[in-house]
Amino acid sequence: MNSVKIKNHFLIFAIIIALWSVSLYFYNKPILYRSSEWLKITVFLTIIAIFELFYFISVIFNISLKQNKIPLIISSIFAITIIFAFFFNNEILPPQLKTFLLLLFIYSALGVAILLERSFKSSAIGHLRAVYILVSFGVFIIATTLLYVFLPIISGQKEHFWFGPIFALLFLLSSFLGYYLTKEVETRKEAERLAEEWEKLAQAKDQFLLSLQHHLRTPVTPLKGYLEMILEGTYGQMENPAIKEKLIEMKKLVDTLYSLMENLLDIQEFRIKKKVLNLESCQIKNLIQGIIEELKPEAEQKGLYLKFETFPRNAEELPMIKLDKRRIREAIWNLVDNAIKYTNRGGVTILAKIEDEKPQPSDKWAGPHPFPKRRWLKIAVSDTGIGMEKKEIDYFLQGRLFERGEEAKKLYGPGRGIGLSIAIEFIKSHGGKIWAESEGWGKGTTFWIELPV
Amino acid sequence: MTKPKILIIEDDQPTIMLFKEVFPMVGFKIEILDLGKKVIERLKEIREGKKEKPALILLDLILPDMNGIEILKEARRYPETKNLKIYAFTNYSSSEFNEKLIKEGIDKILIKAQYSLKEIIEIIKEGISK
Repeated sequence: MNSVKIKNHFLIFAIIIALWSVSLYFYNKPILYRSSEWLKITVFLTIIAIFELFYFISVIFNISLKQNKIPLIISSIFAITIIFAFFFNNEILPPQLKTFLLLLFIYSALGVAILLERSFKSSAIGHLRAVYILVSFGVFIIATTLLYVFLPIISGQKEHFWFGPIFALLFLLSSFLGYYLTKEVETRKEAERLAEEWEKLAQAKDQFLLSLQHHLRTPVTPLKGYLEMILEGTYGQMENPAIKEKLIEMKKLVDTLYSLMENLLDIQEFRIKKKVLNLESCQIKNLIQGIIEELKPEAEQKGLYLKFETFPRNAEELPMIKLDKRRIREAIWNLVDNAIKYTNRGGVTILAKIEDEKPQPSDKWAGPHPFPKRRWLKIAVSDTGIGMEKKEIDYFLQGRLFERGEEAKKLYGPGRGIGLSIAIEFIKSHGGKIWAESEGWGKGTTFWIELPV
Repeated sequence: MTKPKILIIEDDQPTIMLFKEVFPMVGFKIEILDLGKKVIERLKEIREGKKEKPALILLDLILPDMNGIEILKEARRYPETKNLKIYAFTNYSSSEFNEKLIKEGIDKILIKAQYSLKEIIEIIKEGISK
């Protein structure tokens, strides 16, 4: 049952009820017990019965839990049976039948009570409770209408006729409530559908990335293998040194391509929390010195200095730290590489120090500190380069990745611009923090990394 | 001393060509199977004593007709092939997949693209000598 249909049902139902209430009021001015009046009443009652049926079906179809449908259907059937029971009894009802009808009503109310009880156990409590109120309200209105309005019509007693329009109005209100409820269900269903679709798409994306990883890696093995063998002279000596030089360059590029590819896939996997860190004990000093050695030629080519400082000065005091060596190296490497790239005068300084977490105020803790104090390794990569505007830093801190700074774009043209993303993701996956400080354009930038020790 | 025999399960042609060239150079005897069903057949022959046991099996996980885990399971199912040394040698890696492999008793998981030829050869030599 789609939304348009449900909407139409409620609309038509509301109109009919309104008509019914008005007509009922006017019809009962003189006591009616003639066949023409009976026909009219029968027609109206039939229409009401049909729309009540629609009403309940609409509600039932919008309940997501199957086990709740049965009590609802039963109570609906009984409510409608009561109406039909009057059709076939144009004699004045004996009191026994009244009792019987009352029992039927109690039974249908029980069905609704079961629904309520189940609704407490289900996840969609709010919605089901609302449906319960709606349905029980409907049943109540039907039953009281029967007892106080229809019964007097049949028996010719008119003192409770004024109930007719009031009950009709209440029923009208409940139908609007029903409309909004089902509308809410539609929204929920739509949201569930979208969530499901998203889940499927995400899975497809993961699968795609994994197979992409496989396919991208496959040609790397022979490519690297043959280059290695050529350079080792497996196929004979190379006479022309220029060829060898180019081949070495190609080998480096293959390695770069591979590491770029691996890092991108790593970032994806860290984001979907599929990747686990490969932790090992590591001396951060050696790691940074390795990076400096590798990037020194690049800095020297631009006439920049590349310094490494530790605080305190004695670098031996830096402790061994458990971390994923390759990834932390990649993160720092990218920060240093970026610093060199975006600096034309001066140079780049790397600073490493250990900092204790600020202790808890002593008055809060009597006796020994209950938690071991956490220590942080802080690494700063400062340059004297183009610097970053505040909004660029904000942009960067919000994790808006794969975007390069505005000035960087203007000054340095296109570049890969993913170095920072790699650094952010790898540091985050270690439970660390990364942020940037800059006094603005032209004043250099300092990137800080903080890793738990 | 007889050359150690390595059974390589691989379907990528350029990689096969490279291995065919390199491994005999460093003193390995190799045989390459490019389909899962061929491997299953081979395992059966080893069980029946028709073919010799390889010193090491390098198992690619993504094959055209089946995945490597099925092959691994098949090998570990029978006492005759239960103790074969099998290294996953692949470019496909996910933590779930790795967990499954470890559960089924893989000896080592190697990501092809992460190693240079030299390193691969060293790892194989070490594996055989153990």
